[in-house]
Amino acid sequence: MLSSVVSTTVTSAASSAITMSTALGIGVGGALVAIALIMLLSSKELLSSTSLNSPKLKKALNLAIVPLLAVFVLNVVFMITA
Amino acid sequence: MEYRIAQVNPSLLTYLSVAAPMSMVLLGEAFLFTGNMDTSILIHLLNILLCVMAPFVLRTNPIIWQSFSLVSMLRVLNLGMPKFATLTIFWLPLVYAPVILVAFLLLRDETLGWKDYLQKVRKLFEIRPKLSGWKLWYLPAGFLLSLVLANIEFKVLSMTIDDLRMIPSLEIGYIVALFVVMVFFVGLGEELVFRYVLQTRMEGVLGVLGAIMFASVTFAAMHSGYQSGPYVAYVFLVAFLLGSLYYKTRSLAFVTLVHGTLNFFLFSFLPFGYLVLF
Repeated sequence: MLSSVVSTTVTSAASSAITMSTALGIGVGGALVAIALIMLLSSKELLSSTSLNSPKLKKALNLAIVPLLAVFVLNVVFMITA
Repeated sequence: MEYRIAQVNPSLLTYLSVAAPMSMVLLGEAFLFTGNMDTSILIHLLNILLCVMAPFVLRTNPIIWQSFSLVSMLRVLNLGMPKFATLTIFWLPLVYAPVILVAFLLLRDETLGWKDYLQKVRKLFEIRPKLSGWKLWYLPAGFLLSLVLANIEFKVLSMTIDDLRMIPSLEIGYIVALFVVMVFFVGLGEELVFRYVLQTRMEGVLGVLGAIMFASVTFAAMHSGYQSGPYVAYVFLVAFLLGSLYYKTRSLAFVTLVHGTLNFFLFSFLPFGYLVLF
């Protein structure tokens, strides 16, 4: 399993690898995810009026946007509910 | 799902489609190995942007770029996903479900509608020995192989991590939950990305051995979060075995079963002292 359990409150080497329980918290790099999401969404808009525009490009952009949007929305939900 | 290897002539651009994103993945994982998570997620996000845009700017085949985009996406989801539950097994589906969804959207045959997919799902529940990509002997063979591999992995991982339990006790509810998470989320998600997508797509560029090798190196590098050199080396060997099994059987279900049950044994029975073979 490649997913190591990382938390903003758990930083030691051994405990960041895999643990049964983890501290509740937002993910790492929330701002970076938001910036990447904005770049992808704006690229989608800007490229729609260029010669690069094609259904394949839209699909490629959507495939990157959907999971990043999920990360962003879930982090926002966590912050609101916390 | 689409299962077609593009017959491309290996050219400089094609090799670039392997070298550039793979270098980014390795760099991102090197930072994770040293504990620098912010830089790691930054590099993986840059890799996703690169993998999305490069094939259209360079006007080259996007299939390899897309595969590496999935690899980086897995790490971004792993690092970026918030923790709503204290038990790790309830957090893992949040990481893997989006990857499985994206891989499905990437591979799906767009000529088929939802009704066609529903019919296919119904067929999966028909118990027939000749179900596509599945043979009955895979079940005992998969369990046995995964138990042996899990025992070795347990020894290697125990050198750096004291407690590998992922469930508080061996109650049936926890065991079922861990099995479902490890097979249907972790195993399926990782095998989809590394064997079904990455390895298969690289076969057209690097040949069978090269594809298994490069996919295994990428898979091993993606285990940098454990910060253990011997463990990464062992994962490379397991990945090479899984890659070879996948090439021989062409059964995603089989490698998913082996991978999922390996993780299941590793994080359930073995830390409690059961099923220890050596």
